Order: sequence, then C-alpha cells, then structure tokens
Amino acid sequence: MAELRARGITKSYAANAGGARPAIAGVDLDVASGELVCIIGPSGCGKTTLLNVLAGLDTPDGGTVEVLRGRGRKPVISYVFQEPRLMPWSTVGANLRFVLDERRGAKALVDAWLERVGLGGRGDDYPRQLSIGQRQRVAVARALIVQPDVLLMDEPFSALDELTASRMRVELLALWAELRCTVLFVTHNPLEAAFLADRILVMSPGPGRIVGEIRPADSLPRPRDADDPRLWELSRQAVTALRGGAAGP
Amino acid sequence: MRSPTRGARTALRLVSYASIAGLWLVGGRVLGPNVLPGPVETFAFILREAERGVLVPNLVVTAQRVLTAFVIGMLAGTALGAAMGLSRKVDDLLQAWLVVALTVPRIVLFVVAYLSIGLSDRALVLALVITIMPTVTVAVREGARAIDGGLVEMAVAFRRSRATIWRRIVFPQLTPYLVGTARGALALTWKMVVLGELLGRTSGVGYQISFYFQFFNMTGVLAYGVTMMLLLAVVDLGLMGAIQHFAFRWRAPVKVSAVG
Repeated sequence: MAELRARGITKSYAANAGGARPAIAGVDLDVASGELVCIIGPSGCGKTTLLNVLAGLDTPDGGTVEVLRGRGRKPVISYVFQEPRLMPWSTVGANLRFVLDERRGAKALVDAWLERVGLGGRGDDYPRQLSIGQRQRVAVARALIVQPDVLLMDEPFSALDELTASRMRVELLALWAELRCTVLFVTHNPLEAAFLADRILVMSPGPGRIVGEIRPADSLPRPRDADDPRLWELSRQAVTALRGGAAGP
Repeated sequence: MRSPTRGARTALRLVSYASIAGLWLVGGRVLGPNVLPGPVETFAFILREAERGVLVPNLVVTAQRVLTAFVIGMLAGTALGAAMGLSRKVDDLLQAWLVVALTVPRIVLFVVAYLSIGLSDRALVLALVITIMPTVTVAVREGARAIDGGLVEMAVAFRRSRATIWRRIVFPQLTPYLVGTARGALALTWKMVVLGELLGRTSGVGYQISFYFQFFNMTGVLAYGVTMMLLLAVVDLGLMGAIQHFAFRWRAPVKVSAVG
C-alpha cells in the first residue's frame, strides 16, 4: 500500500491553431494508503491526463507527484485503461505474464488470477475469443497480478453494458477489500462513483481542477447496496457539484 | 451469394492450373517446337539438363544470390522503414532517397552496379538489394505508422523495458506488413536475379537462359524459365505460406464466448 500525493500539477498540449491548450491547471491531490477515491468530471476536463501524469506516461509542465511507501520495494503503480488494451496476438495467459518480472511461478500465478476474475481455464484463449466484459476482467487481473501499491483506473467499465458493469464493480470492491491497495478511479458516472468511493473528487471543466469533494464513506458503510436511496442522494450531490454548485453534504 | 465449398474451391483451382497446361499443350502443337515448345519437350529438356549436371549447380548459385540479396534487403528495408515510420525527422531526411530508389528503372541499377563495381556477384547482389529495399521500406514504414500507441502506452505503464516493447508490442504489429512485403520482395528478387545474371554473370539460371538464347534454343530458355517459376511457386506457397499461417494463427476464426 502507498499514499499518493500530487501538488500543483499542470499540463498543456499544443493546440491545432498554435499555442498551448491547458488540460489541467494546478491539481492538488491526496489519496491515503488503501483508500478508494473516485474522480468525476465532464468530458475533456483532463481526468485521463491527470491519471497519465500520475502513472508516469505524461510529464507534467509543473507540479510534483509522490508515491509514498514505507521501507522496502519501490512502489508499484498499475493501470486499467478504458479499453482492455490486450495484445491480440498473445493468449490471455501471455498477456498476464507480460507484466510480470519474475518468470518462475508465473504460470501458477496467472492461473490463480484468472480463476479469481472468473476466467479459470481460459489462459490459452486469444482475446478475440472473449467477450468485451471478459477482456476487461483480464485487464483488471493484469493490473492486480503485479500486486500494485497504487491502482489507477480510467473509466474501466464505461464500455460495458450496465448489468456487466455493476457485476464488475462488486467484484472490484471484493478484490480491493482483499488487497487493500490505493485506488484512484476515474469515471463520468456519479452513481458509479458513489457506489465505489470512500471519497469523490469533482473536477471542473477544462482546464481541470479539483473543485469539490464528497465523502460517501461518512454516510454509507460498506458493503453498499446498489439500490440504496442514499447512493442516489450522493449521486445527486455529485451532479450538483459538476454543475458548479456546492459540493459536499 | 453462397460461398463455394472447400471441394468446389479445390476443383476450381485445379481447373485453373489445368487450363494453363492445356493452353500450353495446344499452343505448342499449333506453333511448333521452335516457337513454343510444349510441356513434354520442356520437361524432357529439364530432366536432360539435370542429368548432365548443369541444372542443379546453376540453380544453387542463383538461389544463393537471391537469398543473400533478400536477407540484406529485408533487414535494411525493415530498419529504414521502422525508423521512417517512427520518426518524422528521419522520414523527411530520407524521403528524397526513397523516391529516387523507387523510381529508378531497375535495369539501370544493374548496369550502373556492373559498371561501377565490376561484373561480380557483389554488384549483382547490391543491385538486387536496392531493387527490393525501397518496397520493403515503404511497407514497413506504413506498418510502423499504424502501430497501436495504446498498447505501447500500456507496456510503458507497466514499466516494460524498451527491448521488451519492441519484441512483444512493436514487432508483432509489423509482422503482417513484413510477411506481406517479404512475399513480394522474394518474388521480385527471384525474377530480377535472372535479368542481372543475363546481363553480367557467367553462372546461374539467367546465364543459362542467355546461353540458350544465343543459340535460338527456345526449349532451353523455356526450361530454365519454367524451373524458376516452379521453384518460386514451391517456396512462396510452401515456405512463405506456412510462415504466414503460423504468424497469423491468432487471427484464425474462433468461436466467441458471449458470457459477460
């Protein structure tokens, strides 16, 4: 487990018309060790940019990112993208082994993780033999097999039908409860955020900044029921915050 | 429209090959052996050349030249194509060279190579390399441009090494372009080597064709031409086809499970 801390993150991209288009401007972020934080914001507010900066895929123009972990190994950051991003020419098992440094015992570990995400015995299949939901399960298994200290998730269930997505949310919470890694989950779905998060951070339209915080953990104990009216209330608060109203209970 | 069954497709292919053989047979009868020797005379000539110990050594020499030029051309073309596809600067820098290499008449390449280096195997192989390299470069460049950046990003996010990313992410995406262009490049090398040998070598299939041409021996010319065609067909359909099948086995139609 590790704590994630970002201070004053700014990032701009070159605009087609020339000059720079700011994507995020001065984002401060603290995610405690073992916490599950959701970030919601309108399309184009820089949520993915923020995750890419935190993952080290993008270099920020300004600001600092720190992943604080106790003594021992270097913190491991793992990423679940919006699409599964599996190598179509490799089997499901090979896709999982791809992210492992240690070859010894890899097969058993891969088999165990496939079992945990409900894909036991599918290691020799190619990704195209799986449904979209199953591929995203593989992507989740790939992110967790490395035993991450910090797990970044970028709208991982947005391409799934609601039935599959709701099932995967429950499975994700079960895995998180077991592993207790720090999770930063980006979504544009306020109800999903309310169901999953300890805290919800609300981002403003681009250039994105954190403009509000809602704390479902204070009013909704776990395990949560997807039909709980309090979830809808939290979701309504998130929508109000997205529209520019006051955030928080 | 219903697609033909496997048996029907095989039958159609056999008809296609049989029509060539039939036309050749009839053409040979009508035009006479001096203008178009028939398949029987041609294959009898091939057998005689083999028995005389002339056919195989010449085939081996030609195949060695083809293989050398093919390997060098593929390696150089792949490296250049990948560099041009992945770097706009390299692409701009080499653009003019590529255009010249693509447009220069191939026969000029052989003449220039023989005049500047001498009538040697080195000159022949160099001309063959320059013949195929631009085609390979263009194909690989397009492949490199089409690389899925999302997969590369995934690999970087999981802290994979640059070598691993090349081996596991980039190379497999270049494979369809490589295999496709390799088939074309091999066929082109195979055909052009005959021209190169005919122009300036004293061994190989091209030289033998030139030799029989000087004696107006149409059967000899055709015998070596047919031998080259058959060998290329075997290599292309057999070896290259097998490589293509192996490289794309993950694309084979499979039953998709529909459980979420």
